[in-house]
Amino acid sequence: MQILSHKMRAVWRRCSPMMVALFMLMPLGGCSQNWGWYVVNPATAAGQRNLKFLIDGLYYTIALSLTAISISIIVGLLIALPGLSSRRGPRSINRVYVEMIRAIPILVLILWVYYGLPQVAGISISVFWAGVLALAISDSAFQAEIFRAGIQSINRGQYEAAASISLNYRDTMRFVILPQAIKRILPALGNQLVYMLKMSSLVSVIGMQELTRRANELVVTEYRPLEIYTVLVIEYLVVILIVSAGVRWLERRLNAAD
Amino acid sequence: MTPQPMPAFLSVQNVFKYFGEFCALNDVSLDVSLGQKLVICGPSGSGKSTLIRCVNQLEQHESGQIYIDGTEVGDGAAGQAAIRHNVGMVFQQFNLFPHLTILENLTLGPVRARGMPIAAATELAMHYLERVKIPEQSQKYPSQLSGGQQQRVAIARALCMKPKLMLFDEPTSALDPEMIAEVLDVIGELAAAGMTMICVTHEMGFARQVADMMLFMDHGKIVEMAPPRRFFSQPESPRCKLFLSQILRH
Repeated sequence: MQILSHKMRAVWRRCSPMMVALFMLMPLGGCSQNWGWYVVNPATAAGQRNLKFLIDGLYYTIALSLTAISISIIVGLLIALPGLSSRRGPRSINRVYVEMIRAIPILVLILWVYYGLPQVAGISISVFWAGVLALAISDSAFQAEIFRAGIQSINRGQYEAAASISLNYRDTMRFVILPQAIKRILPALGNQLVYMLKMSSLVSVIGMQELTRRANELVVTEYRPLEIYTVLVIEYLVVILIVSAGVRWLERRLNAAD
Repeated sequence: MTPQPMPAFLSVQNVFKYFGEFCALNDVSLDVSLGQKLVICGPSGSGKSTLIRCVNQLEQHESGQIYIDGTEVGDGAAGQAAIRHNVGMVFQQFNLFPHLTILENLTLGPVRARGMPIAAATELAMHYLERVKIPEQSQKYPSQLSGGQQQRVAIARALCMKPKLMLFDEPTSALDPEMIAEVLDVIGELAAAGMTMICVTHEMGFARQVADMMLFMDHGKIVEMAPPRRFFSQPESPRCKLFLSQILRH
């Protein structure tokens, strides 16, 4: 009895965010709007085709977000390190970068990278890489701040101990400081991934065929914005809830390690 | 012909160190030759820790010279190498790496800084873990060990780098009373085996047993320096007398 109720509670804990989400969508069913769910009805061939068209955008949403966040984590770390220097020069490089990038809206950066950068740099850039670049640059400023805070939270004694066994700067960071810092900033990194998944919807403006762009295109041909955007909302919800659960799992695993 | 005096392994000459306006080391000079065991005591804020932290350059001194094995220690690469190859340190707060196992804590330095193969480093680490009497804990993480055990691991970690000079910065001050003895025993055995060491401590019983030179500091100055017998029985300076009477009262 005790065990059963414990299990039930665990199941409820896992599922409750989804339940709450569905509950919040319920008012939509009760309004005076005439629903036209046929447009995404999986029982019909046309509905299936439309659903497949929408869901296929997932590939680009995820590819964009994961590529961009991988780059922004690396760039963010490289920008964070001079911010920790005791000298003024490197520190100001960090400050200028962070302050400048943070001041540019992501949408503006996407437009500038896609339409402006090719002219300035004389290169051609695909929609995908323009999106990745803009998202990565924008996110890197936040990653830099997260890393800086994480690294600064590590006790001075750890650096001194590393110095006392002759580790150089690179090995001190790689084997002593970063493993501890990353564990601490993992929740913040998870937040950034969720944020990135949502911000990737903005890349739709330059024609990236991700979730949002596909929903827009389908709305243009089918004239059922309410149904199609509702599917879009659910798509983002499902992806992000899964990602959040994944991050929490990773945190638990890392915490169990010591 | 006068006999050549044996050159000191560590030589500190007229060293000054400031923290802002505060003078932490005020014209400090001392020599330590190989095999010598120096114990430093004094009230808190007297510069004891700062002195040994300057020796391995965790703090940079403002003026004066520090020589290790004849090489001046400062911001030069040669000085850094001299410290790296010769000096080990044990901290008050242990400063073990919490995300690594005990064995990994010990092998990290030899493998990364000395380029030793992992198998050889593991063998070396186990050898020193046996010397500090906790070989069975090698696969655990620091947080699973008692304070006394952690400090013994920290001593083993320093020894794995094969230092010629060991610095102990109040190694027992963060320990529960019942764990102090096990750590002092290990340090005592190390001293008996001929390790050169400088130890900052308030454990006067230990100092009397291990030290061949006692040093009393106050306000960044060396106030008294004498062999332990004379240091404890007839200290010269009134400040040292007062300190000893306070600390030995109970």
